[in-house]
Amino acid sequence: MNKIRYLTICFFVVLLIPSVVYSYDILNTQTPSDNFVFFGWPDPPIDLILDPGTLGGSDGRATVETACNVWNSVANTQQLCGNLFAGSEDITVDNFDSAISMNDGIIDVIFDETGAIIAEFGLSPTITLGLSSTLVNALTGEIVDVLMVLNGSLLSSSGSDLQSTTVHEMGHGWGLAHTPIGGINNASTTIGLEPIDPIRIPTMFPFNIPVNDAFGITLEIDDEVGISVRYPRN
Amino acid sequence: MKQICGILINNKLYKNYELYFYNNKGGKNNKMLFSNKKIANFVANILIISLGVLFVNCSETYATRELRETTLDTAKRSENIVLARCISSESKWNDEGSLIFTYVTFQIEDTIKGEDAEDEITLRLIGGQVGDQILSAPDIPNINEDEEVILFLGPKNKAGYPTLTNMKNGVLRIYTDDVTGQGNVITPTTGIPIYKENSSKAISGTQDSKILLEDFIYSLKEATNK
Repeated sequence: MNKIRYLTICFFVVLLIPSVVYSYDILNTQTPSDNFVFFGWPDPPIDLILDPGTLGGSDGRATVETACNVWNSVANTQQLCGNLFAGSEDITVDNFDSAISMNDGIIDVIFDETGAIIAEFGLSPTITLGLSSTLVNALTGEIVDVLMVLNGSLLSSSGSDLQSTTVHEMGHGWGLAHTPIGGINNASTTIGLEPIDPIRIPTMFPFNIPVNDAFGITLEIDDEVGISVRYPRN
Repeated sequence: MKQICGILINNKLYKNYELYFYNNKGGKNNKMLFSNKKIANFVANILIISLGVLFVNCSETYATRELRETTLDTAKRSENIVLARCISSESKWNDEGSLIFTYVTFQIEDTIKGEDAEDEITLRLIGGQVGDQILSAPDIPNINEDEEVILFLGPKNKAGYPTLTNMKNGVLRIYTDDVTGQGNVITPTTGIPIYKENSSKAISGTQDSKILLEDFIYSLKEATNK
């Protein structure tokens, strides 16, 4: 009789576990006292300051505005994106370290037209579509500032969409981490569910969507649940 | 559930677990063993792997988006591929106080592709922790001091530091078997046919589980020299 009881308990434990593992995630870290703190802005909406240079040969402001609208349109979620301001100088590989400010609570958006800034960060500009680096208080998880870099040099490469990358990186800027949902081919070592319809792959999946990367512009339910849990309207 | 079962089928490390429960019947502890070993193994595996996945999922600070490519493509794009051991890692603010960089220095043990370089190499990667402040890093594995890895390196940047060719494929972890003392590549790789060292007989079409380090290096040289 006891065996049946224990097996029943194990069965329900097993049922619970997949729902924990396969979903959106929020950037987090472990504190010295072994607690986990999750990253998040204490008081959105957050303003952004944009590189006045070009992105993929054109004005990147519209791309960032569209990404803002995408995240601000999620139901039951606080308004996250505030005002967009134009920076005073074109940010390049020669001045990026002095031109950005990581302690003013305003997201810095760099249009890396040649990919050279991404290379300065130690990464390959021929494969890195974009990155967001989040400055946080390690004890509280409170986001202090975010640096967002968009690689304009990959615009002509097959299979990538700059708008999708911008929405994705902005998701990191709010504190969302990568989702494991969407592991659709063997080239990806990321754990994922069974192959899913590419149009259903969440925006926060860490790779482009080769079939049509523009699918990443719209959020999927996994993205929306993640952001609404982190920033509930009430 | 289907995915979990898939993981179990591929998992060879925990095949022989037996699951015990204790009860306090009759005022003394009684050990209960599942008579059906398959069920016991299944439940034990589920619990162990689930814990593992949960830990993998912890402390997530990665924040990039990249194009997909196989390990073979990463290898072909790399100017240098080296076997190296991490000897130090330090995070600090840059002189302007605007960014935290982590400087990871390696001692090079073998050059797999490219010209023999210096004895030591230092990567400068954005991100790291200084005091109570963390600047989240891209999708690069945390490398511990004294850890042996294979690095896929691209051209040097303006500051003179080599770049990683790929964030996920660009650092392959090596695990030394305590019993045999042999190194094994444990990071999953794709697209590289694996051969026994100095043999033309392929072990498998592509490698997706641990494999002897010398076999992997031999296979990598074969694949990148074609």
